[in-house]
Amino acid sequence: MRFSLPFFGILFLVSCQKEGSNPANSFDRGPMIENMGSSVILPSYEAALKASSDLREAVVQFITQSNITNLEAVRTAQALAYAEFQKVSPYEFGPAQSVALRGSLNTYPSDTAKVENAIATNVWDLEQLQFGDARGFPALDALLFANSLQETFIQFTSAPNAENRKRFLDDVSKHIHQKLETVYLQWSPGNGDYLATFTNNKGTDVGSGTGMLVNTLNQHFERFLRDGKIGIPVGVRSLGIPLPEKCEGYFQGMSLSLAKENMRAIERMYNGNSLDNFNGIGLDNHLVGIGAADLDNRIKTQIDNVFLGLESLSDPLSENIIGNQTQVESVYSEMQKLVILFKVDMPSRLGVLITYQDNDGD
Amino acid sequence: MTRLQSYITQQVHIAPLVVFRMVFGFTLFFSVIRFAAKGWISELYIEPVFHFTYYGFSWVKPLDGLGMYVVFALMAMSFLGVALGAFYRLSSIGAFLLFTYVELIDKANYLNHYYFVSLVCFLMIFVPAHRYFSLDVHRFPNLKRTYVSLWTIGVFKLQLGIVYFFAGVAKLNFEWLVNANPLRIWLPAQSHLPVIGGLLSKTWVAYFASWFGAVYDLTIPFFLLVKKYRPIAYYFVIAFHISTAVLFNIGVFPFVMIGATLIFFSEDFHKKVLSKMEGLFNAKSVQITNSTELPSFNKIWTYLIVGFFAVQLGLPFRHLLYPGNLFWNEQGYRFSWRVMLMEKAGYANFRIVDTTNQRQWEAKNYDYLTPNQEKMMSTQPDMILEYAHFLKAQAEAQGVNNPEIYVDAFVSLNGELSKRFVDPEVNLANQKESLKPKKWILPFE
Repeated sequence: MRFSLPFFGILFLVSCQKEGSNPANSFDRGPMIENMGSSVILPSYEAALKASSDLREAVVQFITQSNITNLEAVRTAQALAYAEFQKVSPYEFGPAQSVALRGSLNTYPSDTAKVENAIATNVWDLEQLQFGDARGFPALDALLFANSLQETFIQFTSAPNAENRKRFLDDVSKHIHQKLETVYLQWSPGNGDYLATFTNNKGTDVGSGTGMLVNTLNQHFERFLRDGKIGIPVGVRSLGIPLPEKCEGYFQGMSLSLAKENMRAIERMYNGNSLDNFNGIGLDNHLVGIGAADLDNRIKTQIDNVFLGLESLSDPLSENIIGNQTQVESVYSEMQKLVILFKVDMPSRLGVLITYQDNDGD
Repeated sequence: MTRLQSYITQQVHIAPLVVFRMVFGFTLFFSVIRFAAKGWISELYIEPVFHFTYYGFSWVKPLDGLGMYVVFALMAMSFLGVALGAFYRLSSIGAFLLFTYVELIDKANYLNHYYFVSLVCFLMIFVPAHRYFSLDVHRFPNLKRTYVSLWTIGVFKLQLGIVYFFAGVAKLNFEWLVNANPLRIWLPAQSHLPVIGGLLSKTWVAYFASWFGAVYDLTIPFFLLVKKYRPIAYYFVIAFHISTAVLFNIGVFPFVMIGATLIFFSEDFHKKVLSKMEGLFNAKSVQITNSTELPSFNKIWTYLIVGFFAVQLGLPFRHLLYPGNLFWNEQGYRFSWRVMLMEKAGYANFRIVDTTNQRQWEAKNYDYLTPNQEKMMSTQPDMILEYAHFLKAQAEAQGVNNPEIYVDAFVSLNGELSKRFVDPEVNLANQKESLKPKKWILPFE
């Protein structure tokens, strides 16, 4: 010890001096989560809720006045609402988690036999877990797009059980709207004010704003975007055998545009930019603030690579998967590289605990 | 030898041992209750479909159904029994066996502190901690003894000393001392805390904390042994463990350590504690001052306890038998009191190849592993291998003949950019688990 202590003492002083010239190793997370909450998350819920209200209106309109134009309007409104939902699906914490928003509204593919059986027997309860794959946007995808516009119109108007079918459509759209409304009200400052809960917890542990942001970003990107929207349909989980019918929005053939919309939400979650793309304080600034600009660059480059990959595909994705499996797999690989940066490098630098579980620590 | 023997068998008052029994027993009792209340029994031992086993202990399995709840209920009762000195031998043996059984089920749950608890439980079996101020004595007054051999208290001081000292030795490495890693990453992450928050983002604070931690761990057992320094040393014990409790997510263990360290205090101190408690419970002290030494110090026990400590002194150095960076390859890392020494994160993506048709796919880790298991597995080669073998068995069950398993694993150490961890060309299905160096771990740097 006699030799080593002074030796380390000198090293200590040397490294301290070196450190002095570096930019400050601190970052105030307060403004970051405040920006995320009020300029990104809340407006995203607002947009998703608005689109689901429009969908509700279109459905009501079609039910009171069942003509083909109004059915087409329902289709359009559903496609819009589905796209807007992609903006909020990653935020599965707090109010969204307590109503299981993502699972309730977007478990796909939907079980078409279950949907048809419910309509035939006139029995359903969308709140029941067993209806998990017979509700939400995927159920609407099947109801509205599985057949041609003309055939669908007949199903809703003159086919047997047409009235049940209308009522089912009505209930599914109501269920979607009601869930989104619950979550939005829980977030909004006038009501549940979860926004305050979120922004006031400035730490980095599992329950803090930053902790939840980083953890749900990872969980969603890995499981629900990379795997759910690309990996599983292309076959990376099924002995290499492609499963195109597992695409999101399979019947309406808009899987890719939904995936892109969702990827934009992931990007916002990272860079804190607003819906109309105004630059805001995000995790990118946090990394730069603690001297990890190199990592920020890598992440941004990799996000661009993912977008480039998605641009190289086209809708319907299910056809790409059959015709060009290798290309779709390469997009999956680009996403995989981003998972490593998000899940390994970023939390390590930020000191954020990456675990969806609480534990005793070391 | 006889001088040593007469030293360790000299008669001292039993009070420190009795207080230790109660502090340890009650803290662990509440710790088990807390564990259950947090839902961890189910989360860690019932829900997972797969468990990471220790080398040589792959036969240890969790129980089905209510079994694990029964185990934890019995464990809580055992710790309570230890605390109260009720059915002491049975309780202490039960506490040791049940706690150690649970820890052996899954090494994803390994914590140095759990290892510490197992070791202390083991020692508790052999000491007469129940022969004063206990329910056993209350029922059988003949059991009561006021004096015990010195070694029955000394083993716990030695055990705590080993924990601290080796934790200190482990900190004497370049990253900890010269780069102040990982505290340099962890402390600024807590900069939102009131009062001290502002300080935590300062680099010098990370250096101070690293060096203070190392000096503290290396020297605290010695200061606690010397009467003159003991009170001030104990203030340091409290301050150190409270600050770790505030800064890090480490559960009840700071409190286990604060309580256990009391054993260093003098017998007068412990006598006072006990007499206060006796007053509290209005317990009649039946004065049978039989000071026969207990238990008889026979040879087998000597060898057992000497062997017990010899193994502990050796284990932290076994990493020297392995090439490469210990923090990177973690060969010989566990059971060495390397507590919160590095920030390590990883991601392991497993590819399964069907050689008959060259089809390739990937394992969905989150279907088989809990988030914590996946996180632990991603950075520890022995666990990567065990999981690869599990995936091989899964693929075979799906009808794939001779599946090959490859992994794309990336690890970040102390906030450095992630690097490839395992040779992606090595078919892990063919690699056998052993204590030999794992050649398929890519070198650090």
